[in-house]
Amino acid sequence: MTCLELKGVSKRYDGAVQDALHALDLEIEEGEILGVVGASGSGKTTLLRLVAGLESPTTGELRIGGLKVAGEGAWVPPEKRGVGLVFQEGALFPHMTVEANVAYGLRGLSKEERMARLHYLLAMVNLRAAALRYPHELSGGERQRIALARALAPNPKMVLLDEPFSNLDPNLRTYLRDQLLAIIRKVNATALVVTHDTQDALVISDRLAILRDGQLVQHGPSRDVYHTPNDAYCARLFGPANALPEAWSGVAVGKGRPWIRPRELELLENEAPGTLEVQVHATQFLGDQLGVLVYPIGVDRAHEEPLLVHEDLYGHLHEVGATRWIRLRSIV
Amino acid sequence: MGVGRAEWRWDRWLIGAGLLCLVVVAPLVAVLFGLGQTGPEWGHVASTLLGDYLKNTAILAIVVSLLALLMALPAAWLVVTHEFPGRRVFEWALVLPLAFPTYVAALAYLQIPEMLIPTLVWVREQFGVDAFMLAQTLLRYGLLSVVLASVLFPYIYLSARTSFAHHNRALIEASQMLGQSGRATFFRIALPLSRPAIIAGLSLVVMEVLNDYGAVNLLGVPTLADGVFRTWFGLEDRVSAIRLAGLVTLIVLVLIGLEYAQRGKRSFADARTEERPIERCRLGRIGGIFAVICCGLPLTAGFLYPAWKLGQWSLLNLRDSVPSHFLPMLGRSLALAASASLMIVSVGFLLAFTARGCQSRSWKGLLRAATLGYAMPGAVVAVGVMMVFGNFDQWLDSNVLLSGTLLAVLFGYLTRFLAVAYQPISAGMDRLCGRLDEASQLLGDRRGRTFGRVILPLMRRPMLAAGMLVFVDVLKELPLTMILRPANFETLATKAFGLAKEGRIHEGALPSLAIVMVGIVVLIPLNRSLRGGGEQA
Repeated sequence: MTCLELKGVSKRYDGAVQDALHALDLEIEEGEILGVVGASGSGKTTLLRLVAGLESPTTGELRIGGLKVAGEGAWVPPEKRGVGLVFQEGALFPHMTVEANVAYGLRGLSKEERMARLHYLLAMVNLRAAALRYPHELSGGERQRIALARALAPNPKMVLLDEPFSNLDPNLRTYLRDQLLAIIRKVNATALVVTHDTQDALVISDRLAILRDGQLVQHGPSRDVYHTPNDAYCARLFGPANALPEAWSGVAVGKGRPWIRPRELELLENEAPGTLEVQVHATQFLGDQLGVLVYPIGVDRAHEEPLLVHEDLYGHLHEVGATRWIRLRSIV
Repeated sequence: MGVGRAEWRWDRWLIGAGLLCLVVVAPLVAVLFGLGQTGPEWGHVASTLLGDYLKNTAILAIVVSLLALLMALPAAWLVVTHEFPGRRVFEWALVLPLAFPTYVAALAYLQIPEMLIPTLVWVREQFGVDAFMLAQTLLRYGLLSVVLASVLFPYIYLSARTSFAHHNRALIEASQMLGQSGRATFFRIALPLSRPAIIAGLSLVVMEVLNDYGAVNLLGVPTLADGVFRTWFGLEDRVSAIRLAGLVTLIVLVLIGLEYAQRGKRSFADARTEERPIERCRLGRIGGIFAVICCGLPLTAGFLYPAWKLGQWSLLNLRDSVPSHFLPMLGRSLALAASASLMIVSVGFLLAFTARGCQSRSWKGLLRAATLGYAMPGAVVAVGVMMVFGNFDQWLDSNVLLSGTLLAVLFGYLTRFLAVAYQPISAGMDRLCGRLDEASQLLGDRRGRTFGRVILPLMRRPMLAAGMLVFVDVLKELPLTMILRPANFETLATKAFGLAKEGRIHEGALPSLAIVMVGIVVLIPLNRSLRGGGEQA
């Protein structure tokens, strides 16, 4: 069943000359996690705020659980939408304890039910011991977990996460990401996650939506979006990507994919069937792998970008100027 | 040996500034010492008058605080978070009542009790003398409370407005997303988050009520500050007046301690702010009318009505010609305020400059003590100055007396208003200069040259702002000037009060209006800089 449905949704802010979001069509199925990625200013946050009800669309309509919440003649305010929101830095109420924060949105429950729900939520995020502490006494990761517990407390139809892992150090970030993902999966929540970190998006999303200048430029299962990007913007959002060398165009390599990830290319010392002759232009030490920049023989180096190949660090030595052959790896 | 010249000079700066602080704080210390003195009349004052003074002061402080909160908070919340007709004008205009010294506002309202005499007579005829007395008392207290609250509420309005505007928007939105209505969000999130700011504004209101001499005197509600005055001049009992002043000082110190303690809990309230502009909720017809009333009533009571009355009376006064005493008095007041500002800003600057980079606790304590005068009633500071100068005169044992000279007045202003100059200068120095002076020194400039080439040019605006604030405060100051001035030396403030006291309220309107006009000229740019995030104080 469709949980969230956007039809032709546009948003233009007062005094702006162009739409922050333009004619967007998007659906999220129940229990699905949709990641929304895009460069800054692409309309990610606007999309999230429209769903939350913190902004109203200029045109188009929005349905949550089949109910029209915004659009012609309809408006359901944020407090009545049944949508949870986890803010970028948690936005925990600083004058309330963890317990009071989580219980803030619980209404219509008896005292016992309320306490039971509270204990369940705190146990879920593994922070029962922190119940009486204040937000400023928690670490960044703990704050985000409490923010998720608070957003899930009233049993929302869906939960929105706005850059939930930004401002965390890399180790904590990975840990928290895995934890939040596990919790969301456990309660089978439908989630819309806005993030500028495409690595996060790839890990947590079932499907991805890419926005550029307020328009949806690609969406689909995360794997497809990564391997078959529609254009350079979509391709490079997820890291370096090479345009398909001209020599391979028209050939049935890569099933018609115009963009190739560096890791999908293999560098050979000898010619083999389906390979392309290249010359090593430069190498880059990348930590756990080696980046090798190569030019196909005969291309105009002044106007063409080199191809980037990611090689095993402990593989062959590739001297600048050496001749090599590249081949496309098959994706499993 | 190992101590370089720079360090030695730094110490000299510190010692000089420390001595200066001691001099500034001397009147307050003298008053506190006065608490230990007893005179033959104290028993009489304590048994007959002190109770009334304390009771009146407490009632006024509580009623005025509640009224001021009621005027300030809805207005501040509405102008920050809602859109309604006239919002932009109200946003700055609600600061204007601050231009009115309390005694000037009281002067504008003095006619109201007269206008209500027929009603009071009717009460007496209908319900008897007791009811008449009660009605008269209630009228006096009520009117005084309204007058004080309507000119003092901007202290709360300003701090609450700034706090509401700088709330983390995400917190308000989070509350909405968790199903809370706008009203619940205001009471459960916005108000508790702004509590420290509101209490800071409220404590200023309470201090001003404690300080007030003119309004309470004109409307006949004797408070502690008025009591100091009456005991000194009315009963000619200096010892009791000094004890009373000591008592007020103690009360103020306790209040400051309480405010300081609650500020310590602020850590939670320093929630991050967001740069996203506030999206104001547009009010409908009924809501709009309600908002205009919420903002319009305090503005009318605290500014429009008294300004209209004073304007009307001044015009009547000016119909023939400008009173002959007016222009010389204006010149005298302006000159006094200007010289006081110059002196106080210089001292404030010196202290702020010395305070930089010095982490010594005793120095910080001394500095705090030296800037306490602003919280003390003018009458108390004046009593302290009289004690210090009296002792000094005795010690000099010459024919020249320092008490009763302009020097004593200026010294009183220094003790009372040093904080007004010190705070913006110190804040400006922290913000503007950073480590620039160190950079300049490392580039080869000596301390003096750094001072002239880097610090002074950068500090021009904060110093000007500080000077303007002190200027207006000095111009408005009444009890301190009345006690310490040389005989027959009249300022706008003393003249306005004196004329009102003699019942010549129409004549008092002109000097009052002059004080208010100067106040407005200073308040408007200051308010703008506050609204713009105070980029240049």
